[in-house]
Amino acid sequence: MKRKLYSRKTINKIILYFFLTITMLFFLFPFYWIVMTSIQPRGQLYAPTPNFIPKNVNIDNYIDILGVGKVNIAMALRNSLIVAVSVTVVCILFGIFAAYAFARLKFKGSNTIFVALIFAQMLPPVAVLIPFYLIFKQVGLTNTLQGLVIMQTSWLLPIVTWILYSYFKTIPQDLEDSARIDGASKVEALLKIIVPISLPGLVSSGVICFVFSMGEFMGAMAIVNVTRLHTLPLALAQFFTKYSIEYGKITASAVLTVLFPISFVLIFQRYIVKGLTAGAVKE
Amino acid sequence: MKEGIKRFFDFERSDAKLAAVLIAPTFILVIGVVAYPLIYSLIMSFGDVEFANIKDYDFIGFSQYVKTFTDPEFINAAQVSAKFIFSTVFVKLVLGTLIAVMLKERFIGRSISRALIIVPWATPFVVVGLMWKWMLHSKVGIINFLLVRLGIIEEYIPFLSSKIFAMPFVVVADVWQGTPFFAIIILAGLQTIPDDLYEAAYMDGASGVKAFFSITLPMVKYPLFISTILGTILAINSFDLFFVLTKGGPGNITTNATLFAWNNAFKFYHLSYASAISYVILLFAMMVTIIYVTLMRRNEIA
Repeated sequence: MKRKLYSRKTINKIILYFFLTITMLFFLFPFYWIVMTSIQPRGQLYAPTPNFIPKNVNIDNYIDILGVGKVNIAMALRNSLIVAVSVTVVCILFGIFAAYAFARLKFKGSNTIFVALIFAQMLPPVAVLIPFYLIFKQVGLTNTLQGLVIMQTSWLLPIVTWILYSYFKTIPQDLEDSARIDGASKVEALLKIIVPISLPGLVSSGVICFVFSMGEFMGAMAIVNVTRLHTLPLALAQFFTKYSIEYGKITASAVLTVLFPISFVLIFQRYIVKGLTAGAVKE
Repeated sequence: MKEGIKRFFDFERSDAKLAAVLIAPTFILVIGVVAYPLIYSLIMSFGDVEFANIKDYDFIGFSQYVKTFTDPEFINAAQVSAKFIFSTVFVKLVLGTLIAVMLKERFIGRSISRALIIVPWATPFVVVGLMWKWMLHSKVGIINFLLVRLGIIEEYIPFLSSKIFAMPFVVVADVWQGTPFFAIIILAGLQTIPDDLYEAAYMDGASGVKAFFSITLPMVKYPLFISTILGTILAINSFDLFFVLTKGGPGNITTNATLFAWNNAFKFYHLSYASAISYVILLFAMMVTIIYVTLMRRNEIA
């Protein structure tokens, strides 16, 4: 009986590893493949049999896209980072304020505004794009990075507030109360007690903002149309429209585009899972 | 209005003032920058504004909405959206559940697998699109190469310009990007199930499959529900992937409602018509959200 159980266990493990391998291949192979493509000499891309392992590594594509070429990826990388970092900082700051108010303060209309936020989070961006464009045009925010920051911040604040709210809710009220007894004001309690404890929540919502901002495409395409201000997704899309499709350069740019989001996600992986699942699991 | 503001700044409750100050930035940005444009485009959708005559607005009632629902192009786009939403959410739910169940098991390499699986989620859709476009290349694509080598197809197929394959491969690319998110949420739900529930079931002689349907599924009902709602909203708004992979083609086979609205706004400059279309999309998304909020509140009470 015991031996039979053991062999069943082994079989289960083998089945598990088999499916695990297929799953991981499916999700990771595309990354391997764009890296491979980007480091091959141009001529080899159109060979009838693709190389699965690079024969001679060549970084011409990276030199081309980072230099002052036709499509300036270095500039786009700079724009993307400026926008993403600003959006992240602003969202976290305002998010902390709002989440604290919803989680801890009693005030009329709290519920209504909170539900309104959830609705705002669910709004299709395409529905606000035309007015965004027209209003931004009137106030001179089209073709500015500030315009992108304002637009993306307004899209991200609801989710950030929601994640931080779920976090703040899990912090015992006693902690704050004892600080208040020691003479701390509400704002001091927020800054000295709540914020440090919620660091994982802050990190996870920060990474979520950063990842979203680095990838945002539709809104940016609507309000930015000068190459100088292109973010990475816009610059990447340019490859398809203006020039003949050069997959070596495209994949090299794609690798640069995913570099920052993927590194952050891997570094802060634990926190992100917590942030993404906030509210999804009742504890 | 004045009454409302007065109530908002009600100083009798000690918290109200602070709350007002703290919420103000978010309130102004979200309500101001989202609600104001929404009203703006609602007004626009009842007019006849084109980019060329942007200054003169004539109120024409529901005409743009009548046009929307009678336009065969929109009906096609709505069907494309429906097909896409249904298939991508369904596949993500099934795959996400299977992956979550797999990653809950104890095995060597579990934490690295859990870490790596979320990487596609961090990949911008534009990159997802060009990755798959490259892998699906009609002449040198790796997918064509492998399928021919494995004997599944006889010769290379231009998948993305094919009427049969274009849509399924947009779904594949979307599933690739979105399944990890589903898996993570479902996995978080799985981890709240106490092990003794399974032990008790196995003691009673339940099989693995039976345990899955009688314990696992009911216990992750809520995560499944949340991922379905969020996945549906994401799928309604899906744009980047369509734009990069197929540009809506061949013909209009992969033009979904969002891409159709975008084209009308920023390609053909029918601003009023595009506003009406996006309002139809918005109302649909709102319906989904109402279901979400209602059930979520019920869940919180229960």
